[in-house]
Amino acid sequence: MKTLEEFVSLFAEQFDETDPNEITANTEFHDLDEWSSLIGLSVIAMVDEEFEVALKGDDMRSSITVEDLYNKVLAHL
Amino acid sequence: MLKGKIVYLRLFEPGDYEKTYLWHNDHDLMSTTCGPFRFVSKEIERSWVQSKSENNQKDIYLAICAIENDEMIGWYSISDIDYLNRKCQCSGVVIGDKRYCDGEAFQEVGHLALGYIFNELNMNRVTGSCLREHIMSRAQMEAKYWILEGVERQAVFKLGKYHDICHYSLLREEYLLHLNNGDYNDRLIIRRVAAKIKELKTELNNKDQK
Repeated sequence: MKTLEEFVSLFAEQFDETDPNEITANTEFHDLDEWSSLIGLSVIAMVDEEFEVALKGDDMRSSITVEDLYNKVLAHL
Repeated sequence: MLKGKIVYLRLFEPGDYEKTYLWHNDHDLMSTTCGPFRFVSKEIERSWVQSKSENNQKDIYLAICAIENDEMIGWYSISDIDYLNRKCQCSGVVIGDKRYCDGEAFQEVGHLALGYIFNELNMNRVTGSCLREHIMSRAQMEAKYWILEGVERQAVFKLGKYHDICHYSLLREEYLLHLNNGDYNDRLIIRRVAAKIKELKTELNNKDQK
């Protein structure tokens, strides 16, 4: 089972222009300049591949921080 | 109106300019498109939306609206509709409202739009383009079985340099084949997107190293 730290790292890898050091568990990811629907899609794809969990749009919309999203993933396991 | 579970699509209405104005002036949002970044005033935007709301023949500009609150969250445009040769271009998919940048709305818009293009407009061919380094856009098109037809080298100047543009197409027979095979299942598409992202990142890294 991947830790929160590993999840944050995987999450940060989905961004091309954003410094990975800027993304932490407390990052409110919707406010990131680079955040887009395509990044959202790649995050869903990453979660599916690394955790075998199918995140829904509701999970993304109701999550504020990266940690919130991680907790949503755990809830699906 | 084209209705899904999360979003519905309708033609532009004149009042939509208030939102499109914000999104057209969002540099981060517009940096991933094939076109240059242009400043727009509310007056320019109002005229643009007005013209799109009065035309549903050669171009169709659809507002993407959230079902839960009827708010416009983006737009999808179909351009250069050629009724003789039965072809058109997907000229833009913009989800400007960051609350709905969740991937799921984007997926649903794609399904609704392709269904409309092939089953209502009766198109035989749809094309789409994106910057070569826009991996996410390429990954989601390739995951949905769009075929790369060619690369237009140094075709666009933006953000201080020239960019290649990748041109894709999807034929009606291909769309129906994959639809009937169940290939457009969301989870299958997501997995293909993940694989394509890796493939394309490797391709771009190799190109940069040459």
